[in-house]
Amino acid sequence: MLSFIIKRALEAIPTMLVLTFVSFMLMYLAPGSPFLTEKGMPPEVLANINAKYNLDKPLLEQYIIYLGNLLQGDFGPSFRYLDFSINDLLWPGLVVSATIGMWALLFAVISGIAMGMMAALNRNKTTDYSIMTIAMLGIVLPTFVMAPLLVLLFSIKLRWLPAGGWNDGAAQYLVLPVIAVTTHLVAQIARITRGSLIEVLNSNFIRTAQAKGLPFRYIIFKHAFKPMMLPVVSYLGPVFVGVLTGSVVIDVYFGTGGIGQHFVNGAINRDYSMVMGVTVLLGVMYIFFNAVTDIVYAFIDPKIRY
Amino acid sequence: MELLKVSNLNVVFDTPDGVVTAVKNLSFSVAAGQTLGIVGESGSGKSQTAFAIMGLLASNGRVSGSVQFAGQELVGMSPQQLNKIRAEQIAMIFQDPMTSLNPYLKVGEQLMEVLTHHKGMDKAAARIHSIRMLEAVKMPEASKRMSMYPHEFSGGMRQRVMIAMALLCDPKLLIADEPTTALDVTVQAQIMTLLDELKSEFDTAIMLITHDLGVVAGVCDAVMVMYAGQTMEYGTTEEIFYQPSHPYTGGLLESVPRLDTQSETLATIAGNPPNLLHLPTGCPFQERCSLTQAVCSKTMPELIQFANSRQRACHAAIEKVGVL
Ligand SMILES: Nc1ncnc2c1ncn2[C@@H]1O[C@H](COP(=O)(O)OP(=O)(O)OP(=O)(O)O)[C@@H](O)[C@H]1O
Ligand SMILES: [Mg+2]
Repeated sequence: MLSFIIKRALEAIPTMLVLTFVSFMLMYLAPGSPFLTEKGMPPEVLANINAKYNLDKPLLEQYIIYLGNLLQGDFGPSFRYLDFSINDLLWPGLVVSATIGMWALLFAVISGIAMGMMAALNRNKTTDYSIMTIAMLGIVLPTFVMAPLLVLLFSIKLRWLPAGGWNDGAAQYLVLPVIAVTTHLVAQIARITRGSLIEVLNSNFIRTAQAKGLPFRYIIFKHAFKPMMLPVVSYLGPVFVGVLTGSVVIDVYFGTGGIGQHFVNGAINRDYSMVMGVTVLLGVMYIFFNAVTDIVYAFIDPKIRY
Repeated sequence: MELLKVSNLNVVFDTPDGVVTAVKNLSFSVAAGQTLGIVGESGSGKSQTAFAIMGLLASNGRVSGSVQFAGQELVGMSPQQLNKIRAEQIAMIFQDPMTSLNPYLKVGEQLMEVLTHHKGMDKAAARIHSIRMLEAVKMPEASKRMSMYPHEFSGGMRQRVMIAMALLCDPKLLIADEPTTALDVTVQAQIMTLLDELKSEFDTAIMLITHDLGVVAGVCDAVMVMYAGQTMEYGTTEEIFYQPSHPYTGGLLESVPRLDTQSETLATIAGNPPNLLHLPTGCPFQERCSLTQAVCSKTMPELIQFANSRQRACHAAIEKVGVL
């Protein structure tokens, strides 16, 4: 198992190198420069600036410098907000988005799995139909509809919770964004869990376990739980990054100041190092959580370990 | 003394197309220490009979009739009570060893859990006992295999695990559902020999389900021949082999490969078993039978007892059923 983890981790390294290299090249090849302004700039000034940001060095050297900084967790300076580094801009947003995302995921995993299992174990009964109807609603309602509805109900009508803001992540500011993000996840996880458990319960090895006179509860948790989780894990892998890095809708609607805003602004402002930073950050997270998914998968399914 | 007494057992399944009758009015019994063979083509209801006894039918299945085990009625028993009987009194080996073990749990865990649940053993004791049982089914390097997963075993070895698992609590009755069908011929022979040895060692009664009369010959005391969920005939192994009293048995016997005849081609029974959704009136075998008469399509022949303990359900006179 340990060797599988190490192997999987090592495999991620070349992927990350390719990712940084390709995005670096694309940025270089893109027309225009961040310092081109309408009015134009004296050539000497431009040369100075280029030297300051290492833009006068050969391309490969630029890349190596960038990679070296990256390894120390430094995404470089912003080409737009000259007094800020990319780190200064990205991290606070990431913390906000990841906080919302973590809570949303935690809630979604626990309640989604519980709901799915309850539905599967009461298949075609009222419990099943009610849970699945609620889940269907969660799937069809997009976040940009959910968010205003939540605000309307809990902030404007009931006046229980603030309509927006962050306030250092105080609990009452978290609730609505978390619910807005988690609803869809809960619904998807419940649906996947239900289908998966129903299928697992039909397999021969469950019948064997029953023939062994084991209690039903024990069979569910000892024999059925792991295989039931496989589709849930493969659903969660790619979703993880998306949820942790937040959504533009949430950032805009609740004004939480998450990372979502930088995706758009970076591109509009031709802030190359911001675009690079966001690309690399997301890419690294995707690669990382893909590896985590594979490792979790291998934990569950012994056939995958080798 | 009868250990298992099945009377008028019916198993039906509700399907979108209608009601499927998988087992119809089946009665038989197994005495302590006896080996009963249940033979029939694919789809004749052998597995469903076993599942009905164990209370393991699919959720769309319904059972009626009676299954008495050591004086207790199993039909309608609560799952909690059934769980006391499963593994401890009646154990089962399944048809497909490749899918019948849990691929996500170590083999050792799957063995030990039987003992910790039924015998209240702690892990250490359960482990020792499980290893001993693996050795009894001639598993090489038994203790090493405890921490392996089913996919690391061959089909024959998995079936040995299944057998060991079934025998852990020393059950009085072992239901073996085609224990060798999925295995190649040499392994088949090994498993059958093993079952035969274990039978005398542990003194268990065995209900051996198979579609292969050849398998029955060496092991069984009595044989029940099933077709479309019903008994066609019942007798001792010798009687069934040397004086079959039902044309279906005759057909099954002819399709067993033999070395002592000259014929080059292997006889098969022409046609297919009937659709269980719409069983014909009369005898279910009528369309494939060489001795069909007018009455066969009108009434189902009754299962009658003759010559001591033999039973047959056929309109044709016994003398007409060819003796091989
Ligand atoms: N859940 C179910 N719903 C509907 N029909 C079913 C169900 N389970 C089994 N059957 C039907 O019951 C009949 C008897 O099946 P059974 O498994 O007992 O056959 P078998 O004699 O064991 O055959 P084989 O040798 O292939 O194992 C089959 O026709 C099968 O299609
Ligand atoms: Mg079968």
